[in-house]
Amino acid sequence: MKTKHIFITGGVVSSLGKGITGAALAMLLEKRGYRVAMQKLDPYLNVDPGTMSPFQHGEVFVTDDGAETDLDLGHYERIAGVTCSKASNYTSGKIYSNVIARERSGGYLGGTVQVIPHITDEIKKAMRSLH
Amino acid sequence: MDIAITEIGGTSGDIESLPFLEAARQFKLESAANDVIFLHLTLVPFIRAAKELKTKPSQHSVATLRGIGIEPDLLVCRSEVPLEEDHFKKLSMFCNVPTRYVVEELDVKNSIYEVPLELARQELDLKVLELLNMEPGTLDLDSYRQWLDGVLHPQKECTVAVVGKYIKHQDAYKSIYEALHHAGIKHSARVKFLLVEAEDLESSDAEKILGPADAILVPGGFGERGVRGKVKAVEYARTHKVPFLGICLGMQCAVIEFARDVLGWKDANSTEFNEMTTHPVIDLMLEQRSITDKGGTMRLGAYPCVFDPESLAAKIYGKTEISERHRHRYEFNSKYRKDLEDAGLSIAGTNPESGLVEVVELKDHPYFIGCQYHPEFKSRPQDPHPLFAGLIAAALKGHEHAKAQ
Repeated sequence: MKTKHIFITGGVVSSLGKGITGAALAMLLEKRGYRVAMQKLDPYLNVDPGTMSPFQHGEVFVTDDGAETDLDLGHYERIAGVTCSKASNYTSGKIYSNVIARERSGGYLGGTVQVIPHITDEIKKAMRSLH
Repeated sequence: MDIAITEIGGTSGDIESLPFLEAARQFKLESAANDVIFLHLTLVPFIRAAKELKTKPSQHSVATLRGIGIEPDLLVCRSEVPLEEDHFKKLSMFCNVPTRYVVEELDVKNSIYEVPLELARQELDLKVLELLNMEPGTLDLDSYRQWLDGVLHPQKECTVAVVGKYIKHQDAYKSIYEALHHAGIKHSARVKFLLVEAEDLESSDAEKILGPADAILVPGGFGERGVRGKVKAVEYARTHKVPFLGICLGMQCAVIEFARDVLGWKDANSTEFNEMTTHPVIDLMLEQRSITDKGGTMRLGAYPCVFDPESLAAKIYGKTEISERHRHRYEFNSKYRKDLEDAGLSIAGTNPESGLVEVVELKDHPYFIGCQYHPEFKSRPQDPHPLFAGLIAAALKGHEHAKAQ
């Protein structure tokens, strides 16, 4: 079966508990017999939260495969019972650095690198990496 | 994988998250019908002065999303009071979401583990599956409800002091608080947190601050600020026989305190804080010395650890080979291993390949464990981490004992 996708967006204010709501939904879907994977996309430009002070960002959650990630992944693991990995957290910084590294190595030779389509393609790749 | 859930950080309208939303829009455009849905989580605030719920902010946030080409399929409304039929209708009308797919998510009273039940009450899971054109299957929450009932009605209680350097930020030790909570659940106990800013401890009477604690936990951290306070907390736990768990820097502080107080090496330290110390009992790992980049370069992720079969850790885990997650640059300096062991510090666990010391213990103590790794990341509500479960068991024992006297 093809993987179905749920995007969770937030409105009005931050700290509404998108992570907890997503994780709780994942738990219910798992109890109904489905295998669920979870992912967080963070808009900031740090490649990961590993270099940020806990005062800025709260805890840095570490996965088995050694990714330093957003603390929402802790909710995913605890509430939904999923196991997270490097594919479970991408930041704008990570996406941009991948694209820029590819540009430097000649991956877009001859072309202008742009937000659309290059950054958005890279983001879609990250979204599909969960499948 | 059957279902992938992607949470897009930030709120609709932020400049930073636009590329993510644009990519998600394209993602749906390129997928088959019913394969991709958007769930928009929004706030419906209660205005006390008017005694009214306001849907306008939600209308605006959805309008912003629609402006960039995203039509939410589901609207989940966070609210402190129940929405009325009018609100559902209004939100449906202005946000272009059928009323059936406008659901409320009320604030839960006591525990985040109530949230799944709150969503189930609204049949959010069923509505999601409907929209994705998937079979509903069956949902049995009886055992979860039973477990949650235990969570909400603890029979005992104990107090754990968490001596940290980022105490003021409530999410800085999220997994640690959760792991303590899970351990409490296992023992039907409410775990009260005594949050101690390590720096405050430096100039105060330890007894006055830590006296009420049935257990002391010193978590990880980076940099010198607060280290003196953490060391003082270790000293108090060691000499007053208060159950203790030191994690990462907390374990390193335990080694430093032991070297200073028991071995009399007054300037024993980590080279992170004093490069000139004559007794660098904690030192930068060899493989870290050539690293200058700061991002993603620590010793990170899962590594194995093997316990001494006679150790408390082996008894608590019920096995001698484990794997735990790490995040550090500095390590126990094996050069001092023999001296420290001879003085009574037990080396309970090491990495089988490098010999890196992962766990230290004290024998003549009800519960004193320091671990280089982060056990808190692997604790689950219904499967608490052994080191936390052990700490709470010891804390409860001490608590009962104190009460009996």
